[in-house]
Amino acid sequence: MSDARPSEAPSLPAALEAIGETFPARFRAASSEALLREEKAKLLGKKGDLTAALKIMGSLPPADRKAAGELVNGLKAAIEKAFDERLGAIEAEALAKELAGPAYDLTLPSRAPAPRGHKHPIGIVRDEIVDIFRSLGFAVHDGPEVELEEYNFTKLGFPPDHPATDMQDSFWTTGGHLLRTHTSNVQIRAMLGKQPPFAFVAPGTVYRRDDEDATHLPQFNQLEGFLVDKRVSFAHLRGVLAEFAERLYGPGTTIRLRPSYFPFVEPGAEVDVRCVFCKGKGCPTCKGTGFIEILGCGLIHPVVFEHCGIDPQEWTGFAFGMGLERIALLRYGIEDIRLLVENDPRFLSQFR
Amino acid sequence: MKASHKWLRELVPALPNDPQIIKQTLTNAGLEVEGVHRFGAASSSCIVVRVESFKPHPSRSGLRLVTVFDGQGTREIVCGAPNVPEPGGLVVLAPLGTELPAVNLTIAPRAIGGITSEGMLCSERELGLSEEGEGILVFEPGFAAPGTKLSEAGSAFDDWVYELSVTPNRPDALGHVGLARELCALLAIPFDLAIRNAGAPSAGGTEAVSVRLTAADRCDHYAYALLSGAHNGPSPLELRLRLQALGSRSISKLVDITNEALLLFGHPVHAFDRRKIAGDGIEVRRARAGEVLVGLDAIERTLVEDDLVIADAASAVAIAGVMGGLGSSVEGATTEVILEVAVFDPRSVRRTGRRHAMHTDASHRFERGIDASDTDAVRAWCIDRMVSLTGAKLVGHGREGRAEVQPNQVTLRHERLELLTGAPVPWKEAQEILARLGFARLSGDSAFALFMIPPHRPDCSREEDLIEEVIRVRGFDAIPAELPAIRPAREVDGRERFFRQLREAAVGATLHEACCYALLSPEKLAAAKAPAATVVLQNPLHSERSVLRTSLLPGLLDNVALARRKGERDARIFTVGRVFLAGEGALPAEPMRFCAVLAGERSAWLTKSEPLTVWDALGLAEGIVDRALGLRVTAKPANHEAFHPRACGDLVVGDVRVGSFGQLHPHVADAFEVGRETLVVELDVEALYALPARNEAIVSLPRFPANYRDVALVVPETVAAGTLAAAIREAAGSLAKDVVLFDRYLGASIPEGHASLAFRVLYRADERSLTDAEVDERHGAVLKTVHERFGVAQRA
Repeated sequence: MSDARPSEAPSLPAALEAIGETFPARFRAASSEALLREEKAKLLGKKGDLTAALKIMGSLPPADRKAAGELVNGLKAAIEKAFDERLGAIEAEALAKELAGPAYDLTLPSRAPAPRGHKHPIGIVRDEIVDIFRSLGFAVHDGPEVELEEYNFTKLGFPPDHPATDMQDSFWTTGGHLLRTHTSNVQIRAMLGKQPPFAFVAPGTVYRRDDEDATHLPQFNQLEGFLVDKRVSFAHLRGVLAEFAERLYGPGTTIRLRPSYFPFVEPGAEVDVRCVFCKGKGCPTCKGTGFIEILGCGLIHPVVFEHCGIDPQEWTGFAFGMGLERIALLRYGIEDIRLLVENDPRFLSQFR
Repeated sequence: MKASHKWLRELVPALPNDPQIIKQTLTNAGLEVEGVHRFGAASSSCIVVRVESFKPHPSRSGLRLVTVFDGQGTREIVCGAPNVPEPGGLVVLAPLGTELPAVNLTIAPRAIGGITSEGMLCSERELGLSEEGEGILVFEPGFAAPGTKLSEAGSAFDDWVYELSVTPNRPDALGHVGLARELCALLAIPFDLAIRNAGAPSAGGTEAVSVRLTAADRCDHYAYALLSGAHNGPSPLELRLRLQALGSRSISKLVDITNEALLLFGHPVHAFDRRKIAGDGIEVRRARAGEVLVGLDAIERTLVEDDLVIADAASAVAIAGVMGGLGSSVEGATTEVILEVAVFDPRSVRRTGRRHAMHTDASHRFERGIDASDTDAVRAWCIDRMVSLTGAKLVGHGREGRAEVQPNQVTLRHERLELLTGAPVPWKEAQEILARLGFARLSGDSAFALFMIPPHRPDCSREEDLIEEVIRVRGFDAIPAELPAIRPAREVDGRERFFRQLREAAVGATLHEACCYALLSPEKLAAAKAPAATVVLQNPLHSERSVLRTSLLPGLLDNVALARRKGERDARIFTVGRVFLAGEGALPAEPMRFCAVLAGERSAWLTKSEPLTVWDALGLAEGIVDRALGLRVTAKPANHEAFHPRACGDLVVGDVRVGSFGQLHPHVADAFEVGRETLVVELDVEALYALPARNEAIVSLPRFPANYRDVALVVPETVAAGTLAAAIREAAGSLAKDVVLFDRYLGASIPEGHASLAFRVLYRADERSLTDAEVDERHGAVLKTVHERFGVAQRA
């Protein structure tokens, strides 16, 4: 201690002895790392006790200096060792205390990096179906939503003033065009002026003049697919759709085809999949029939090829179209189609 | 189209008597039966009884006690009907326990005024036979022996009715004859109906009425007959019930016969009251512009020249193929009738029907194309029916226009049939199927055959049509499933993938994907300060959905407002879709856009949520573009009408504007009833798609350590942090690798209108370690520059 410094210098060995006797107790008394370091500084720091003792060394006769140096170094090593031991003990004690503390309250709400986003059910279904057809070798194409009557109807073989157009009641623009009633306009857009082979799917928005209610929207989404090559047959159409059904609804899902009519295909068919809910036994979803209608299809009508400058004797093909809303409603058990356009966050956040 | 099971079996008794078999057979062949309904379900449990006597109910006025004889004994029935017949009259009794599904009633013993009725005397309505519920059903004496089950007293009391959804290509299935023919073809039953083979009548003159066809392109085939001495009046019960079962209201004998003919042959016919026709003849002509006609529905319509009419000497008396005129219509007192069996141009009928918003049983058939070869048969059948039901006499008949219909001929190749089927199809079987459907084989060998298209199949005109018939009748189950070897088409462009990347980036950036209406109102666009619509609908459903959007914003704001009204104030939604703008060609441009709307608060952990700020919108935009494209987007001050003037910026990548962001303008927020703190990010997807691909080569990692120096500056708030940062970067030179604003402070120790901005500058050389002295010197230059340029000094 500086105030304890004697006016008459004590002998070095005596000073060292005093330090050697007191430091273990001082280290033991230090209850934290900070206090311990403080004590160590009082010994070995610039104004520390040992440092002060060393100053006496200079006044010793040269013959005594070596022995004194050994004494000093020995003491210094002992202090360092004691410090390390005491520090280890303090750390171990702190860790033991920390480990023994009360458990954290894991019932507190979690701390998410950010709320997560969700795809729209139509987007989910569309992406999944596009991926299936891509993996089968179909590319993705698109066409305009405001379309020429010629591409939406005429070139697809809808006779003028024919009730077939009643199946697709249209919105007309003041410019004399219409909002496409199906994605089949993409067939014309993709084929016109080009030569096969073609293998495309085309997802897109379509419009029909249906009043909005629980099962209808005037605007909805379809996915069109078509394949044109040499010797494409109805068996191929069946093969692709059977593969699609199994990939979308799981292995073992079977399909059933019934004849139907769409002006741009012949023969035309409606396709039912075996009900995925009751596996064909009959349930409210399939109205007891065991099957659910999901798409329309057929071999491309030769008149469509002719309208696109393609020789129907050389090339044949098939086309199919499905409504994405219907597939989404069935999958998620959505009973009112209007939920799909209301976009309530509490609705949207339920989808993967 | 409704069809009667009994009627079909009357035409072809060999048809199976099981409605489920008929239903499946038709549905499997493309004539979808949507339902099969029992008509007169109660008829098999109700019996015909004879009224023996009746007397008033002892305690209830208006009720009577009727004693009836049921073939074995008498019963006493309490009856409130006003029309109980005199003793000897026949009525229908529902005995105790009978179910009457039409009125949802089961007859149970019940005391009425102290007297228990032994059943109920029934009206047609209670029996489910018609809507007639005024009085009980009464038969003439001798109709049936008392005790006979109602279902056995006449064939019309009990039937199955098929609800068919007939596709527009099959007009032949819109009549019972056609359905019977189809069923026979499908079930391999011979089909030969005598009523189809009748020719022109042998009696009667041919000049009784003159007919002129002056619009031959619209009507080139008109057969007619004149009958007189008819006693019109209510139809007999069987006819009445047959029409009722098929959804057609009974009017009078003459009218009902025309409706019966339509349901039987699928060929609409019309009857005019001869005495209401001015002059000696009728003309089939185009309407005169402005000509007025009151239809049977009592609605007056002003016609145009594109309409085809039947006219007498004075005026139009019917709209050809659509509806008769009220002024020439058959009434109860009608005695003289002109019967019309004609063929009208399908397109003309369709245009007229649509123009005047009329869709009738007649127009429905004419616009699909009817069998022009059966006019003789239909006329003969109608004449016979009118003669026998009304006592009328045939006065005369005639025909204008072509007599013969020239059938098409089509060649079918066996090889083509198998190619399109994708499986072997026995050639003999294929030809037999076509023969059964009425396609007569004219010639052929083992490779091809020439067929005549029957006149009832206007939908068939080429080889593929015959192939469809063969495939359809054989059934799709006969075709195997085979995966084709797909030669993939080249992806036209990668847009779908790109859109998906963008959508997934937005989802990754915590947004919910929305799917919005593209149809909305001009007012909504205006309220969102979007450009005026360029695509306007001629025939919108209503004004709220009358134009196509020019911006995605109003749709999303509507969604946010709706959710808000339902109590959900937080919304983080986006949509990727087209907007419709003026295009260069005939059609509008349909560029893809991205829009996101953020409303509500940014949640914090176990402490108060913070309001969202415009920097949240910027961060979102940065995150999305980075996730989708790996590109860095930056903000530039901008001014857009929809945004708050103080919180609006453009988003740029390099020099290319790719979108904008900001806080919604209070006017817009108020108009949509969303919160004023609502934030928006709009991205021009086309601009993003057109950006040059990001250089994907990596940058090598630094080999030498970095040194940091901080600088805190107190500047007026009008000095943009970005401007300061740029100045610092410029002054620091090439050794400065990064300049980051890490603290912004406004508060007591800072003068009013000022902010303290603290930047950290990272210095590093690529090829050596920098010394402290070097960095200090460079940093000193930075301080000097900002002081000189902005007049600010480093904060103490």
